[in-house]
Amino acid sequence: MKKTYLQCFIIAVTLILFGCNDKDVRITALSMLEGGKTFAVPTGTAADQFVLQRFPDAKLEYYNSVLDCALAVKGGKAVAAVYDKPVLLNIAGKNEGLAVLQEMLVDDNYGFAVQLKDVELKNKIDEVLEELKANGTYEDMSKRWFPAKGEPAAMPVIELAGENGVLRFGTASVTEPMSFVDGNRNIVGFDIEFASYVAKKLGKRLEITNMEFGAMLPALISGKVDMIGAGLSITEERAKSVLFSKSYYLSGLAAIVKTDGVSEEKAEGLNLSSIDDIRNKRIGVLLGSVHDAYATKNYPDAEIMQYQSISDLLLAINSGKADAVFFDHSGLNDILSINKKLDILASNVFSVQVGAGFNKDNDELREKFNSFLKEIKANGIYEQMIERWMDKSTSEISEMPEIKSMKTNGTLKVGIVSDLGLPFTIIRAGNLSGFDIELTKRFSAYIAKEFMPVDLPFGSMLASLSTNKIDMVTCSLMISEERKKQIDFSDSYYESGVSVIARKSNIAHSSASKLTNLDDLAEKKIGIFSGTVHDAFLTKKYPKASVSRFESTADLILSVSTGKTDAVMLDLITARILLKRNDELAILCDDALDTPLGVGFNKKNHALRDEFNGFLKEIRADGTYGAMHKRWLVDDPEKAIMPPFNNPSSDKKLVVAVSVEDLPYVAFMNGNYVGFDIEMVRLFAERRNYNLEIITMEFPSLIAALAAGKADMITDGISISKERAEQIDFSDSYAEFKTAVVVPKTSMAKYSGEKKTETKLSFWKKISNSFYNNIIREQRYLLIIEGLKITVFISIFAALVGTILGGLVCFMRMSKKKALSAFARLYISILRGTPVLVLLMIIYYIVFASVNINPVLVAIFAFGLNFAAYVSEMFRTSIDSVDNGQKEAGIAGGFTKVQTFVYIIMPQALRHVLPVYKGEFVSLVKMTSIVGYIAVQDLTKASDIIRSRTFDAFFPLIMAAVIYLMIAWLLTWALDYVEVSVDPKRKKIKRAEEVNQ
Amino acid sequence: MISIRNLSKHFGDLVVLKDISTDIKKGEVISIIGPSGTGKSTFLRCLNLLETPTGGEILIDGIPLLDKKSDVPKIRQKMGMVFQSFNLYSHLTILENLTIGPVKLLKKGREETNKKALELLKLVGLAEKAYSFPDELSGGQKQRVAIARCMAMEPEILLFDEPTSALDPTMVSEVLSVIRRLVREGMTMVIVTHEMEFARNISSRVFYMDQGVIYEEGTPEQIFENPQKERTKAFIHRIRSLTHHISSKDYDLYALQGEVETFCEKHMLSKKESDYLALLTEEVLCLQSDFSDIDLSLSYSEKDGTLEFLCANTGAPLNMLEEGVADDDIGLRLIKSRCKSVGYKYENGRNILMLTVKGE
Repeated sequence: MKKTYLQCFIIAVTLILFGCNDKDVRITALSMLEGGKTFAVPTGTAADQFVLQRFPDAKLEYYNSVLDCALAVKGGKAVAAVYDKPVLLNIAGKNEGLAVLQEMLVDDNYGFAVQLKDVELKNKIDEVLEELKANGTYEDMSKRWFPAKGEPAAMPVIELAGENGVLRFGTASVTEPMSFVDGNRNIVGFDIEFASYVAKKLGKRLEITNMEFGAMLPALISGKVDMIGAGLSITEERAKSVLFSKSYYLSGLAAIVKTDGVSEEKAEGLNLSSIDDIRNKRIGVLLGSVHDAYATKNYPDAEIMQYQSISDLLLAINSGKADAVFFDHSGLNDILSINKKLDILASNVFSVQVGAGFNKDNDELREKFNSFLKEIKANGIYEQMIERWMDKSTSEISEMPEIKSMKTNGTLKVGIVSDLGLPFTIIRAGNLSGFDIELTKRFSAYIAKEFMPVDLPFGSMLASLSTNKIDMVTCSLMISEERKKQIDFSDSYYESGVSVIARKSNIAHSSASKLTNLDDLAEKKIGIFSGTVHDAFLTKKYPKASVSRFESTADLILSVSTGKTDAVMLDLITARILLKRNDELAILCDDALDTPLGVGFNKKNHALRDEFNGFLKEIRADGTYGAMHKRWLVDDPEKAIMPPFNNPSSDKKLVVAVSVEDLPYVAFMNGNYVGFDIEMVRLFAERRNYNLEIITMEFPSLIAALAAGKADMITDGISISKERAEQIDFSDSYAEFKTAVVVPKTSMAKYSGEKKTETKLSFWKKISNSFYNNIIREQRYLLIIEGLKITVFISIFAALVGTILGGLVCFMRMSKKKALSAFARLYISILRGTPVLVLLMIIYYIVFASVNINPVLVAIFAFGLNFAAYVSEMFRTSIDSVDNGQKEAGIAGGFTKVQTFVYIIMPQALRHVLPVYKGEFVSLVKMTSIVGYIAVQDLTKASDIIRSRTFDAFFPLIMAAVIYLMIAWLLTWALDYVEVSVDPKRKKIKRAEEVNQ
Repeated sequence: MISIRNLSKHFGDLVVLKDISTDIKKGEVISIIGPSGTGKSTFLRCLNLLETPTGGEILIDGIPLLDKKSDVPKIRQKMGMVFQSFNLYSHLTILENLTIGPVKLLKKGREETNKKALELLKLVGLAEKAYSFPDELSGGQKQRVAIARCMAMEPEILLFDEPTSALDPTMVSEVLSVIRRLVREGMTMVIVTHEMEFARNISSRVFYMDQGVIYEEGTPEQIFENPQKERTKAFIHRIRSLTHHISSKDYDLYALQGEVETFCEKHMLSKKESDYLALLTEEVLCLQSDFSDIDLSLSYSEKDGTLEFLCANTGAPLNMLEEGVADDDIGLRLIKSRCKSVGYKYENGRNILMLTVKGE
């Protein structure tokens, strides 16, 4: 067994080391991009159309910007990116590893666009163009913006009077150098400069609006801007909806590719992408085969290497002695599955007929064979054979069927090539098998002769046949004119295709292990918030991904930073805030999932929901919504300031449950609740005259709280989903939730070239930073103190309740009355068998569902019940441990049972139970850390809240642990004191002194 | 003081006490003796209801103990019990062991109680251990404390459940001395004990319990010197016996002699005695003519070392030991020389020969 394990281990290691094949081959010509290559194109451009025109079988990958496309190429995710040549030149000029192919895909004209009816503006633009060209400015501009190497020069300052109004210019400032953002965060570029001149001509001011490329045309058409330009190509399609100026720049679509393709294995320099590429290489063929003739005829410049057998042929190609090999297509599956280094370069280059070979003088036999062939084709056996051998994949190895034969007429000597391979001839388990073998066996039976195979090298086949050493030949013999000179063929019994195979490393092939979009995560580990819509999303879209669920954003981030997950999904705005603090993370994509957010209501509470929807409409109409939206969801929410709030002291109470997770929806800062949702509910309370109360709990408990009537509304960036809508009612959507996928920078293709610049902080500085962030800042220590009070309060009272109850249960358990004892035993086993968290939630959400009870009381009750179950057994043990004789002595001495217990048993039992009781008590204290689930803000919840703001996992957790530890120590010390004072031996000396006085 | 009528106690199917009726008067010292497992302790424990009788009646000073309305704890306060395993309260000092009862139950003042307790301890000779804990005392000391603890409650009657059974011989005497002292002071006591000498010396009455009843009772003289009933006798004399029945003349003499030899080994009789017995067995049987129904019995009293050989033969009266009856007198002479005494009687159709074997 050990040996097997060792072998497996070695194989696994080898596979891992050599399994990844990342081969890139340098593309030097446009033609090399043929053959189903992957192209990166920006969305919303015409580039994709042009690519498909030129390369109909190209695979397209869409990216947000041309820069992303180029990075995709650099990262090996795409072979080439296609875009306007000047832009690509610009990019190539700044990136060592990229180069623009000389040949352009298509020529292109840039134009500015105006609204269809704005002929006047169009004419003006054309005029300006003429002028600029005439006075040399145009040439200056060209030189300035399209330097051969390096950055474009700075934009010249152009005075604009602006007496005639404003020229609204829309652009997508991501197309350097036509329109882009410079180091000073100004929008500059060729197009911008040109537009300035147009504005100047019109005597107007230039107002530049930046937008997504894909948004430019709609913006123009809807009249939001007057003119657009950003290296915009003039196309017929576009000309249907906008009016183009005359072309102001002749450009074209070019392809940018990697310049230094370094493969995992040694760079071989060959980059075979099609059959043409082998014309001057070393081609391996089977000696005397049709391929031989074909290759010799068609590739005169190639070096044809002839091999005696298939195995020699394969050896040659595997070891690099041949660059390409012709092979029967039908046998390739089998070959490739065994020879992992080989792959198909070109399939079915030509096809040939296969027939059986006969001696020229043996017409009789040949005729018989032809009849036989007709027969099996007629009666369906031929079909079966084809199905059995030709259509199956190699994994299903077919079995030779039983063929009865007469063997009365002597033997039939058949020349075969035993290592020809499937589907024709192989040896398996010592027996011949394959299409040719079955065919020949059937034929032998047909003519009642005994089938006698004669294994010969391929090259000797024809000679043997001619000299009658064998009667016929079946070895996937291809019918060719050349051969017909020597032998006679039967009718063709199979048409075979011939393909060319080469080593994988020589074939243009690309793969990458870096991530460029969400699909790359299809089989990786993804972390999400438990109970969110991402769960359903992932299950549906990427069922193979392994999903981990977390309770808080801080946990999510921790998981991806430490590599426990490969990527995490969370709210985009939150992600942006996060990334400010976590340098090593980046957003992979932010368009995975957009969901609307809504406020949750109890299904029965239609009135409140309608009221809220009315309120939403109101604030949207009067602009309040807009301001809120901007404050929280567009600008940096960390800098937002909550507007002041007067909580109406009305009789109508509104309880809103939130889960304090993070900005921009709900957060806890400076001792107050802040966030979009908070502002929203406050406004609602103010305007509709409710007395607002906000309670916090864990996210998964929110829905339960609503259903149980503990809260009237719940909100915290909750996505509206069908599943949730079954349990609760949603308000109208009040915001859109964009999901961002966050990954470590190191695993993103985009950042693969970047070096990590870490500023090393000293250890103490880090600690003091953490301390400040987690405790001092925003008065977070107050949170901790409040939490601590609650924890201690619950612990002590739960212990009291539990001890008393435990004593009662113990009494019942030890009672002689069967009913009491049975009840006690049942109680103990149920309480001991239920997790405290489940118990807590059952009591809060089910038992006290519609009762307005303080959750702290519920906590005390639940923990008390649980505590009682355990301590009752402890008490019982300690009581039993006092020997029975003393009890008898007490009884005999005239004590009642109760007196005996109190004076004699209990003092002794107490000494026995205290040590274990201590432990149970400390356990109770720690157990209280789960009360966050029923909206009690204890010490653990306080640390969670702090974590949700600082995203620092380390400090708040350690701090909470330390505080719990201190509580435990204090309590243990207190109980120790009790233990000692109960010890009779201590009293001995005291009493002696007393009596002797 | 205590009246017991038809007391019975079953533990499920096991009958421990069958039917006991007796009276215990004030000032009496009653020892209860008997073989193990005959219910002596059970009987005693029934007296203060540590065991609940299955049937019968117990009256303490006229108050029925078994009545539901009776305040049993109060009654118990007047009865002290001393246990085989001492049962001192291990979390209290010796002094406190003594004072807890009076203070908590009799509501006596602490100071007064403490003083009394110390005196009691002096009485039992353990005043210096007043502030020690029970686990610091030896067995004998513990038992004496236990007695003192009982005395502290000023009981009317003391019950002792094998008070010295758990003590080694050296400590037994110190406890017995204390008990003797109490007797001298006139305390009513019921003592279950195995100390025969002690029981004989101090008791006013002795109960021999066997088979679930008071088998025989009487003064110490009556019971110890002159036990009437069979089992009492056997118990008192610590008689051990061997019996053998013969039903045909083809009996196995060697097996019989083997049994005899084993008996002698078991009871560590001397070689001489063993040899004599072997010989006697053979000779006596030679004297017999009718072997259809013979009973042989060999009795050895551990107490006084008497070895008795008995042969009972069913048939017409005939004394084989008489001169001239047997065919030859060698056998007779052999027999007589080895016996201290020989006897004959005819009873119930059986000729009984009784021989007392010579010992050392």
